[in-house]
Amino acid sequence: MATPSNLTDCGLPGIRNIPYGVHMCHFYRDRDELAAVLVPYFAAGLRNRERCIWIAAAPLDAAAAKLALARAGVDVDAALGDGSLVLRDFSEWYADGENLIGAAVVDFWLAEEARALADGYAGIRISGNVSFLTPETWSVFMEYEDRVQKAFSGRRIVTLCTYPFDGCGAANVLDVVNRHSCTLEHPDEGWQILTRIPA
Amino acid sequence: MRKDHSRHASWQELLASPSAGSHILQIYDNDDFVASGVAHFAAEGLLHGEAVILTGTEAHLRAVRRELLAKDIDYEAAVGRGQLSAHDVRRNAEAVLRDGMPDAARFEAMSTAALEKARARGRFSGMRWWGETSNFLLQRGHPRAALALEDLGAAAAHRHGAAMLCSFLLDRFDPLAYDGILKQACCKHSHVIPADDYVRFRLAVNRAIAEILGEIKGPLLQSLLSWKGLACDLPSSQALLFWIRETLPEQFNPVLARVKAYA
Repeated sequence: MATPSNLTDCGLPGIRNIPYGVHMCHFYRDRDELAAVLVPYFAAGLRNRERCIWIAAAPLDAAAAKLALARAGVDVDAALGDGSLVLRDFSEWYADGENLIGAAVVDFWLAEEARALADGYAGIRISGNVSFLTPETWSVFMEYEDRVQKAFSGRRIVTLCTYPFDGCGAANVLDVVNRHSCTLEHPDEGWQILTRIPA
Repeated sequence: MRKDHSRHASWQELLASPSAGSHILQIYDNDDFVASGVAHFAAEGLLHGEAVILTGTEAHLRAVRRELLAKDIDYEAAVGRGQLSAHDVRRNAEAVLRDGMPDAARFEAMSTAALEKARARGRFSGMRWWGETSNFLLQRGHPRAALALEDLGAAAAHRHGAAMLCSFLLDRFDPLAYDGILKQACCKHSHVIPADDYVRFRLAVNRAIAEILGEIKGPLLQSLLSWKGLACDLPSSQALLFWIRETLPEQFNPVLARVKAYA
């Protein structure tokens, strides 16, 4: 039996392969910029036979995300029907804000990975749009990002966290990039990966 | 003393449960912050069954004692059972200096005696030491001696598994300090507490940077990501100021002036 590849297609022009276990972040300005990164990212995940879990939030909610995927040629109904795509609004996904904080959320993702692998998927591909934070919940969520960064390393999980520029000051940007493997940037037609140099 | 604070969210959390061997810098510009920070550090240690050593000026020791009493800590009882001890910073400085510089052997003897006594044959579950001897030297015009003493303090904290907190009176709004004592002091410590109110400081830094530099994207984001940073845990707000000083020096003074105005 062939060993599964540790690399997978990111789906974004200019970036070809990314390793499983990667925990990426991206800052967007508006709904179009958000769709421009998440639609090809998930379309590639479905092509790669990864279970895709999209936790949507304003300005691109689950209904709008479904339309955007369909416009890109994804058979959304079939993917939702066979369980390869899970697409839900943040408000529905986390019924209680306190669920955000614990190691339980990380354990949940690891269980999802195991379930997907048992179902024959190559891994899981996740994205959460982090547009719901307030100054009061910021540091708690950063602790969660720290946990994810440590726990997902080496797993068959690809993660992309998207943050709106609006509401993210410079210190917030530094907090976020310090807690991810890399940052996706879209300076021109193509995409690029920026990585942090550790101190 | 258990939690790994690779990135701390608040000074209260950091000082409540510092990891053994950590060497924390508290930057202050008013005495109230020293008293509240040190009292929090000491009270949490006492409540967790750890030994606490305080080395400070008479005024600061009095203020810390007041704060501990306000937290319902029985100060005298803690002293009586050997869990808490207070020492005069001037005498401490005199004991470790030789020809104006800290003497490693003298410091080793002094710190080992104090920490072994505090350890009390394992009666206490850990050790915390707050000191301002380096600051005492700095305020008297001896920055080299102050920084050399920090090296000895860090080594002692590591060797004895104690958590050490140092308080420094520094002006974080002085542009010159970013190339000198502020940066050097940060680099001598494992964690830095740059301000009393983290949220206010963060908002001030965010606002100043947004006004002067704009959004952190494109080349600015690339620059930030490729910046090596300081080898200590300090809040992003303070780290960004060091980044601007190093990579965008012409923008630094206007940014810092606005941070000062907004903080």
